[in-house]
Amino acid sequence: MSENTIHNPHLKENPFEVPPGYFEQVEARWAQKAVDAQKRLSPEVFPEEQQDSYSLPVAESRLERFIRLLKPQMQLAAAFVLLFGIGSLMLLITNRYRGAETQSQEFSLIGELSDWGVDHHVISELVLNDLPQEESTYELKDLDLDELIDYLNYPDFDLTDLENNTNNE
Amino acid sequence: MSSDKELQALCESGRYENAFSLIVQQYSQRLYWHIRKMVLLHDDADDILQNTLLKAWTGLSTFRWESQIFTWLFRIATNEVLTFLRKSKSLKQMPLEDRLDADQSLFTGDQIQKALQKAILRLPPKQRLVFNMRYFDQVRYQDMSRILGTSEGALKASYHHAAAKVEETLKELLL
Repeated sequence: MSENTIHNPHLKENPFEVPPGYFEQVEARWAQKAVDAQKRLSPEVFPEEQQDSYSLPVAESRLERFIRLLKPQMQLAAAFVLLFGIGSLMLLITNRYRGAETQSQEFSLIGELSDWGVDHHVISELVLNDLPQEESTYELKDLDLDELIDYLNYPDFDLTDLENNTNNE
Repeated sequence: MSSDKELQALCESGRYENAFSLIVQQYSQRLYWHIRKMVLLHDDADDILQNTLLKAWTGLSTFRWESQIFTWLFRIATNEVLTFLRKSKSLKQMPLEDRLDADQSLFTGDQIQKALQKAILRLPPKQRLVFNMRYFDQVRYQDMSRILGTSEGALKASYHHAAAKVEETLKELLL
């Protein structure tokens, strides 16, 4: 069997080393952690000390285990409920604020005008005056006078007056 | 050497610290070498071993004793190793092959042993795990199946495929 194949027994030897006393240190380190945990478990023998991340595990009951397993799902559900609640609250506040804002704008405008001595009658008049004057904007152009006379059929209609008025424009 | 039954009895009587001290005495070296063969450097192996023992310590109260403590510990260590290798790859650290050349303070092997390590490093991480466990530690396929959560048939196929690849690479490297 060639020595350059994986069947060479020499290749199965461990080629790595560890620093001197490494495994003893590992055992001692973890033994110390166990002693620390034991101290916390027996407060009558050892006074209470500050907890660290190596605190001793405590045996779980069935209920505790059930709660532990359900905890992530419950957290997720709670997060959804919280998000939904926050969203609804925001929507409610925004709508209320929007309604109040419109109303307050109207009231503030009327209040401001009344401060200047303008009551609602004056406002109505101002609004009506701003409406377009349909009759005044209508222009008579290229009129067929005969048709117009027939249409109006006024008994006292004077064609000369109409001609004079048209010439004056 | 404590059996699982002794460890279980200690845990059931609430003496976790005694049980854990025994676990550390009994398994820390095997766990360390399992990790070291995957990450090669001592400092990395030490960090992973501490994480493994910490997880074992905090999870001991929930261990059901339906499986062997040995397979549970090795499963934790294996997951830690795979997580470490994934992180190292994503951080684009120096490849292990180069790190093996750069840090030889705790490597005492000769050229052919170094070539073998380099050939093993060319395998994908999970195949490397299978190869190391079987080739160096002669772990039974049955135990490996429990540790890695894969069928024995798949593990046998993976090992034979890995062995053929390592053999081929080794020959190339030693030419």
